[in-house]
Amino acid sequence: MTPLLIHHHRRAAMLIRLLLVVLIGLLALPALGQEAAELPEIPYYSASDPAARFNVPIPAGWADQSTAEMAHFVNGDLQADIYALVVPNTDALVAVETALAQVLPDETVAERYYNAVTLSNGAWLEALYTTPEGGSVTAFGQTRGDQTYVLIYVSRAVSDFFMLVTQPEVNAEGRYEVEAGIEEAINDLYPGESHIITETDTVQLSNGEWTRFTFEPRNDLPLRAIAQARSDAVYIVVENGSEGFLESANKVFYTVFFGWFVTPYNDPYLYLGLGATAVIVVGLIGSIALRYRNLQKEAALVAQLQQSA
Amino acid sequence: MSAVQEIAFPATPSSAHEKRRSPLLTGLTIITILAVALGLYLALFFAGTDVDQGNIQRIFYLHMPSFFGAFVAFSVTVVGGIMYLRTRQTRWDTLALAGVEVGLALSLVNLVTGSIWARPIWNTWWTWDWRLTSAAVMVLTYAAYLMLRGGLENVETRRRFASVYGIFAIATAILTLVIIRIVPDTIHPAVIGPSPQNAEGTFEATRGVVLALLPNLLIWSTLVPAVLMWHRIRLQNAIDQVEAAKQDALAQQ
Repeated sequence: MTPLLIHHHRRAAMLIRLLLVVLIGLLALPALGQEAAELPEIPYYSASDPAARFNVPIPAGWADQSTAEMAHFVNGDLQADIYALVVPNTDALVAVETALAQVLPDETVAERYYNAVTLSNGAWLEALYTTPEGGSVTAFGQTRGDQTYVLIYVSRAVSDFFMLVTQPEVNAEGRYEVEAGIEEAINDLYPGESHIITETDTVQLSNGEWTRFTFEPRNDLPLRAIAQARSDAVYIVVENGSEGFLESANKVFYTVFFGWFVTPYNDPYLYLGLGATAVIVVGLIGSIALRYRNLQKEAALVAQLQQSA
Repeated sequence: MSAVQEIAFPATPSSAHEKRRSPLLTGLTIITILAVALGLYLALFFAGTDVDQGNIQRIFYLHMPSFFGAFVAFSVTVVGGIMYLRTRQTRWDTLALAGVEVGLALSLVNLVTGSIWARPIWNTWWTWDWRLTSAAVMVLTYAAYLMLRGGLENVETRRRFASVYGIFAIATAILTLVIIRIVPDTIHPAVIGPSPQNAEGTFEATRGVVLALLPNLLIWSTLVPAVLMWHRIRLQNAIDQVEAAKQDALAQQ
């Protein structure tokens, strides 16, 4: 081989290597693009059990005292706790009460109200309770399969402090109205009582615009509520007390409620996918090996023919 | 080496060349197996669980790389086809054929894993979405390549036809690659870059996506198709040798 040819061969080999490096680099680009597209990480609690993995956002400013089985967030300023857990029971009301016995083992709560609602994030049972010390408990339970997921808000302030979801009659445009929702909520919460609205205004919170209702005092304590009509229901918080937690607690609770979701358990499909991939790839390799083996037999036969000839 | 093997592939210059390469191919095959195992480890244990989709999202670390592996193999077919038409050398046709067989297997992996992912996420095994349909057309186009090729008796006609077919068939792979960019009405999520507005199922917030995806992408786009094609080429060379020996034997009779 002449020096010129050797030079050409080396140059070609170098170009091929360079081309390979460029190709590998190009393959890396899409993945790097994906990195840039990743969303900022939201602090979330995820339950450890893969067959019942629920997730809830951890509210900003709340202390996270969660365990592997139960989400537990605490806020001293609002005198409140939020719990999220799973109870192996298909009766939502029984499951909610079982969950309450777990999170408040030393307190016997008294039922105030319960109602079943179907919302955009599933069918829920809503149940409200009061504690012996005068605190309030709002609990939501959703049954999936043979277990119920329960979200609990415990207000330890000595007042009525409840979250309610109502689905009153829709208006002519097919939408829920906050006025109808608030009326239904007050009637459910304080049956047989008459409460007159003295002031209505709107407040802009980070989770949208809410309508605020101020009623005549009840039991010499301010009675206020805020409500927001959505496509699936009217979301309401009622406070009969002087703490003034209405806006901040409302935001936190509904952030947790709307941010809550269950990671589906679909591991068998993953195994199916891995198995199918193995079958296809091993099938191709096996087919090559089998054809090679058959070819060897054929070649032996040809060699015999050649020898006999 | 057994007697049968010695008889099967006598020491022609071509087979001696194959024998010299065997240790390299064996080494590359071992490296590929180890690399695939590493990729699976990253996909199944290193990458975080997608909180929205659950563990089925991990199939994406095979689904997308296998498509790129198929794309590489089909691109090799194009190169083989063009070179065969220019030079009429058999080895280019062999390369093109190997590209189709390997690409078809990898695109089947892509199609099947996509369908399995769709069942829990979209609640259906299949939907006639643009991306899914174009992928199915791609698979059928290359399956037809093999069937049509097998149906042509004349060797020269078969190779010429296959070369032209293989060159044009790449259009289906390119279409599958770009269709979600040009057709907004698709539910297939775009893994790279923003998804179409109505896409369902995204992987954006999962921890370790990039670190698990990048090695798998490299392994399935380079090592896997290269090694499989190499094995397929060796098989085809052996077939050609035996065929030639058969013709010789028949001529001697």
